Amino acid sequence: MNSRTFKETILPLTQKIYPMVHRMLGETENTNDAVQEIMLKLWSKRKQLSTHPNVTGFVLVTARNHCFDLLKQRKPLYVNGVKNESVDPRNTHNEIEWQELNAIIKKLLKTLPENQRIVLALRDLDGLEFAEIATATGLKTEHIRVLLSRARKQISSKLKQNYSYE
Amino acid sequence: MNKEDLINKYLNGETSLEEEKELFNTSDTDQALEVWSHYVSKNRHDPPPTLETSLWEKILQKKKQQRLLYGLSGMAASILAFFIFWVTPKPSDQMSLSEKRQLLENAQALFNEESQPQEEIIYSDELIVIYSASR
Repeated sequence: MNSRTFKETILPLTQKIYPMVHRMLGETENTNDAVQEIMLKLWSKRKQLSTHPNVTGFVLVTARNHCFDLLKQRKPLYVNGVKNESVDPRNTHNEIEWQELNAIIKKLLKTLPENQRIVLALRDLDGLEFAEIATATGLKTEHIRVLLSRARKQISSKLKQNYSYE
Repeated sequence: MNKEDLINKYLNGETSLEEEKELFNTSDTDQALEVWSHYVSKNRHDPPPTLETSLWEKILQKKKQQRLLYGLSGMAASILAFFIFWVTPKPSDQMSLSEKRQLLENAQALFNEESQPQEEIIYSDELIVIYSASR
């Protein structure tokens, strides 16, 4: 794979991997550095990429594995896809409301089985196609749809319960 | 497709990414979905617009560094090879005296007496001698 092909086919996949890397790692600065490291890693593997049957899948798996490696080295800032932060009393009303909502959903996500939580995050937060989720997780598309449906229904019903008291 | 059908399709995991985008951008859906879409929009982070350009610059920089490294390595290897060739003592092309003697003896052994031509004096006087030679 030459520089031009890499620029045209691999570099635009930054749009795909960025939300996932940000969700997994947290801070924007870390995300930019991590995405850069991933792209440089892919650049060094460009010969392998040119013959790979599923380039997007390969890029997603490389990005995900890189994030896992980074998370092993440090304490995660995000837990279950939500930043671990306390409420600052100086925040405005909307911000406090948002943080409360964030905390509620974080709690709800914790109640989901792990594979449902991962599939939900990869689809709704990272915006990946089913085929891409299948490559990243090693699950079949039909199974992913089932897991996603269960997770969405569970979250929806719990949120309805929660907001019916208001 | 009406909103209720789209919500059901979403809950069954059957919507496309475009339909989901449309659903998340609609404000008057059901309350649970509104809360969830708000959460999604707050937690979804798209890359900065300049990221791709800066990444490409880094890659080009790395490419340049690699080329420089390969060039320097090649140059260093050439210099090393030259020095090895130059410094290492070459085997001498001069023969020792005993080798020369042996070679001469070998050469002489090739010419035995029988193979030398038979000489016969045809004519001789004080000034001139004429030989005829035959094998």
